Amino acid sequence: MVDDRPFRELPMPLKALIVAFLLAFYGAFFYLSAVFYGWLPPPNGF
Amino acid sequence: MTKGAALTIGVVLTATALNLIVLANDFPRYLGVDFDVFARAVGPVTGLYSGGGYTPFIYPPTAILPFRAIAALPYPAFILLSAAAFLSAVPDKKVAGLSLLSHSAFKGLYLGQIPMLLAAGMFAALRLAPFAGGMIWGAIAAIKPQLMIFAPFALLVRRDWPMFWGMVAGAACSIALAVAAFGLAPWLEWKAAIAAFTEDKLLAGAAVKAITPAGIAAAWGYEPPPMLVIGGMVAAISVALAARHVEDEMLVGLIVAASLVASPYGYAHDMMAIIPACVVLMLRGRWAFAIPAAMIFVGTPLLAMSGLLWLLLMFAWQGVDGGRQAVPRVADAT
Repeated sequence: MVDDRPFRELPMPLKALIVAFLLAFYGAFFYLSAVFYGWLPPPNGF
Repeated sequence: MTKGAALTIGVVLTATALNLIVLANDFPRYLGVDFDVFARAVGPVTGLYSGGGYTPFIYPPTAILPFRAIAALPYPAFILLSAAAFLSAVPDKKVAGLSLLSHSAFKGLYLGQIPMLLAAGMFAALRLAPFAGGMIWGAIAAIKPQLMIFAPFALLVRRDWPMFWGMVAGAACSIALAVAAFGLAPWLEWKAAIAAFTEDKLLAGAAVKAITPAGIAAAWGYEPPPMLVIGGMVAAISVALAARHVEDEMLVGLIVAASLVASPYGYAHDMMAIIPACVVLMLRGRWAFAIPAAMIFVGTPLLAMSGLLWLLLMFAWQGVDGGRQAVPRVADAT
């Protein structure tokens, strides 16, 4: 049976993992976009 | 002949004429110019991200290992492999064959670009178990993130948790493999290369060929961020409303179209994974969907950008409409 439960019905650890992944994924995208447009100073590290 | 078939024939002829004009003007200049980037991945990783002139290595370190495998092929073999993989991954061979006549396909194969191979991977992943398919999507996102930005969000909206976790695993494995093989240094060099890419390449004139709203804004001398915000909003709304109502190649088209309009830059060849959906929509002949699909198929920058935004709004509308087959499954439409 396919697991297609709504987000709110998932156990809390899974919810936390999903939110953590989305934050990391989209955070990396926005960060790289900022690097791309030169909105960030160029430090020698992350 | 149906109006959809007539439109498709006209659009394919238009794209073919455009491709021949570009070929006549560019050949042999630029032939396989981006394929040389793969060969550079074979050399030492130190210094990979500096230099490169007009074709810098701008891919994340997760792309180095797969590119080393591709670089083992001669350029003609890469073209054949890309086309064969695409033809075998798209179930409807008429749709697949017509897609190869698009401007996206021509540009990708002529330059030696990777999106056709990645599109084949995206489609092939849909025939696997969801977790395994998600792993492939994750690996693709790790190679060319701007094609898959909206994939996790789409899977979230679809509540497709097995594929979501597969994508997490695929991306994590790709990153872990790259870190294990090359360490962290290439990641820092990649970041510096992204910043330099804007100055060296986009501002040097390559932006005129960009098909994303932000890329076209840059080409016209406008500030890109407002277009990035508009593109991102259209993309997010479209995926939120439509992701549960589309399947197969139409789902891939939605995700990649949404991802591109929210990206700083992208070119005609990057739209390859959207083309099968466009062919289906053209053949179906519902004008509100078929015309933006045709604009994407022809693929010149302004047409493509307008087509992407228009098509995403139509996807959003059909999502509001309850998914009443306004956007068909590929298998049902041909």
